[in-house]
Amino acid sequence: MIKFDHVSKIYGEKEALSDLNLSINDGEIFGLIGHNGAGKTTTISVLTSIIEASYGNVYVDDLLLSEHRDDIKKKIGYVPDSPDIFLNLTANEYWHFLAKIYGVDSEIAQQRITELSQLFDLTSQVNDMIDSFSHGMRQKVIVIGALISNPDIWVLDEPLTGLDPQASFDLKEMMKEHAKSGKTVIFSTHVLQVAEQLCDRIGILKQGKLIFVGTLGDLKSNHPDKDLETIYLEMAGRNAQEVG
Amino acid sequence: MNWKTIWELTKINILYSNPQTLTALKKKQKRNPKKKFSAYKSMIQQQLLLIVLFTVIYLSMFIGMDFSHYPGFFSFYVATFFIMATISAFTSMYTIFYESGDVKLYVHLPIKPSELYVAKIISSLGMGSVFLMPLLSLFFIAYWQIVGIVLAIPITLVLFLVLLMSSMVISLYLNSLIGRIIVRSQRRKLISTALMFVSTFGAIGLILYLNMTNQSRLMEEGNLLDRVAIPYFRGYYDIVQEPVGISSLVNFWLPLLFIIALIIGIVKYVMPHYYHEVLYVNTKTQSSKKKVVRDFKETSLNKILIRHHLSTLQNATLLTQTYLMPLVYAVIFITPSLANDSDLSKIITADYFGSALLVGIVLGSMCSMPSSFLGVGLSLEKDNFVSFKALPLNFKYFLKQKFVILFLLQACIPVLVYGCLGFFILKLSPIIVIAFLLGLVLMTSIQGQFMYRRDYKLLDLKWQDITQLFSRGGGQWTMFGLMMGNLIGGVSLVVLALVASFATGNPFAVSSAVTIFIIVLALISQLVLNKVFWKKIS
Repeated sequence: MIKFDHVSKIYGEKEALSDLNLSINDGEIFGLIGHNGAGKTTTISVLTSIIEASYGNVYVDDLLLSEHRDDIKKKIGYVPDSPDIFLNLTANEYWHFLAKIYGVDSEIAQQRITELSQLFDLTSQVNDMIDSFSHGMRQKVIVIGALISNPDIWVLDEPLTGLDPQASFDLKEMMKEHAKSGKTVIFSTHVLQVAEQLCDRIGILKQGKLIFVGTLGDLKSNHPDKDLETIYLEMAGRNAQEVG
Repeated sequence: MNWKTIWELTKINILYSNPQTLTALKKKQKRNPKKKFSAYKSMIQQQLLLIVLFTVIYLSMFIGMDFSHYPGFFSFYVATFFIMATISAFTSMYTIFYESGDVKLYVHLPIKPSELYVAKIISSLGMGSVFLMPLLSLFFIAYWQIVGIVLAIPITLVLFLVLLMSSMVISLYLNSLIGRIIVRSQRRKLISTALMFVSTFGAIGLILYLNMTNQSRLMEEGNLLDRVAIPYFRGYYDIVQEPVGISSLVNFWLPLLFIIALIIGIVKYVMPHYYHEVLYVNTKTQSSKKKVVRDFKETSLNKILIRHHLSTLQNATLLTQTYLMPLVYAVIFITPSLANDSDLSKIITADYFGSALLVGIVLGSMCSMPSSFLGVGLSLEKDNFVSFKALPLNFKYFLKQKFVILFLLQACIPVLVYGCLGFFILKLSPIIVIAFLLGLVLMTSIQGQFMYRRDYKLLDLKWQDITQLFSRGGGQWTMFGLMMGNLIGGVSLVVLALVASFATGNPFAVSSAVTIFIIVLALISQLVLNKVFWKKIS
């Protein structure tokens, strides 16, 4: 279980994340939804230790993140929003590098790499430089990398951007499978349909504040006559204050 | 610390710290796709080969001197190579530790900051150790002469390791202190450029200064007199000559204690805070950076484009490469003259303007290499290049304008430096200085256009590290060929012109002929460039 306890992140005078209180359960697919700059990536960055929270604590399986960073990092597989990383390595080199860092047995790692590269149609390109891949292919490489350690928590920042329909479908299925096996999936998106298809619960962020947590069913039942897009825009959109 | 993790990180960092070599190896791999290929192994092999080569070359250079009687010379060589190695290690460390921007790739992985720090130290070892290798040869020869060959081998190895460690520790401290200042600064790019500039130029200047001092003393009474032994560096002599003497204590043991204290400081206070230092502090400064707010003003398209051209040049390595070479030549050019107290203005009279023009052309060529603004300016556009093509803008005009801006920027510093040097320091005839500057500007323009065309032909918009652009199309060989060609060809022409002047007794006539010859050659080159480049751009 992941718990954000009064977490804030302040940049200079700007509060990117404001007093976030949120619990995410094991086996759950949790979607972070919000406009650009709402605080989705900041939330993910705090959880993945990319940045430190200015105030508050984060717990993963009752371990305090600031005190057990290395142990918690081993539980997390992270897919960043930009797949343009380690471009000077081949896909295979990158995956094996991650396998060694996470301490995955080389045979198991090879088996997972073979399975995942087949699933994502990358078998013939595993020895090509990541530099030579398209955006979508790079995204697939990063997704495979995050899954090699079979992490307890899978964190994805805007994972579907740039993927072709088949890869997008496959990734969504994998997220469901991952959650079914009792593991946690957290991802950010601003595509409501994706959240609708995948999420057990969602959290809506607006200007660094969590303004809603619950299931999409809860959200719809509060506004029975409106479609999801209208509800979301009324809560988080430009004219939210006037409407809401 | 997990050494398996450190080794994996070291391999990755070796790749990232040598993008230029990596590009060359990638090409090699493309040519032999079936051959099993390991980039990091090839790079380590290359580094080792270079180290062995340096050691052997310097072994043959030092062997002729009996260092047991010349501690001053010994300490001079130790100081020279130590300074070069430390500065070189520091600049490469700064790039690897603070500029590579790769820490964010590792921070979410189960990697301790100290593991990444150690991996980065190991991967930057090559750069520093290459310049220290001559000292391995020096130590071996000197210690052989002092204590005999049997003891010389272990002593050489131990003391060389102490020296290597000292150089690395000093570089790391410099790196940590200056890196800390830079990541907190609002003007990070400016400071890091200045840093590269000052460190490289400072090292060259210091070595030239060391070389100049004592120069006159050395030849007194026809004997080779020893130099004054340099404190600290003489310690590596004293420790073998008299291990427990006062001089060894002051110059070796106490500095060694200081170095050990520095190592403890790095392990305890620097390494564990590396992520925090690079990433968290950086994030803080970046986000608390004052917002750049510019009131909208109706600006002409030209001004917008010029601002755009200038914005693409903000790269510390490129600025150093473009402006350092002319300044290095200036130092090399001026120091012998100042050291010898010779009055060049009396020797080079205004009639020798043709030779001055030729010298200007040689220097102009060296100032417009593939690693200068004009050699990479178009590739610096990255994806903007394609966007500009798609805009309803005369693309030829855009390219011409860009060339003019880059040319003016590239030529201004050498013109300023050499102008001041000629007018105020060497106090040469104004005609000589102007002829020299005209040659410099002319050649920067002509060769610069060839470089610009080369960049257009080898256009690379997907580069990650600017050094990849320098090595395109055999960039290093082009640079080497141009340098050698210019030195040999240019110097031959200058000598020829001088000989002709003396032989005919009419330097004015020879200078006029040389000038006409150069003007004709420049016109032909320009016509060729118009035909093969400017007219072909659609």
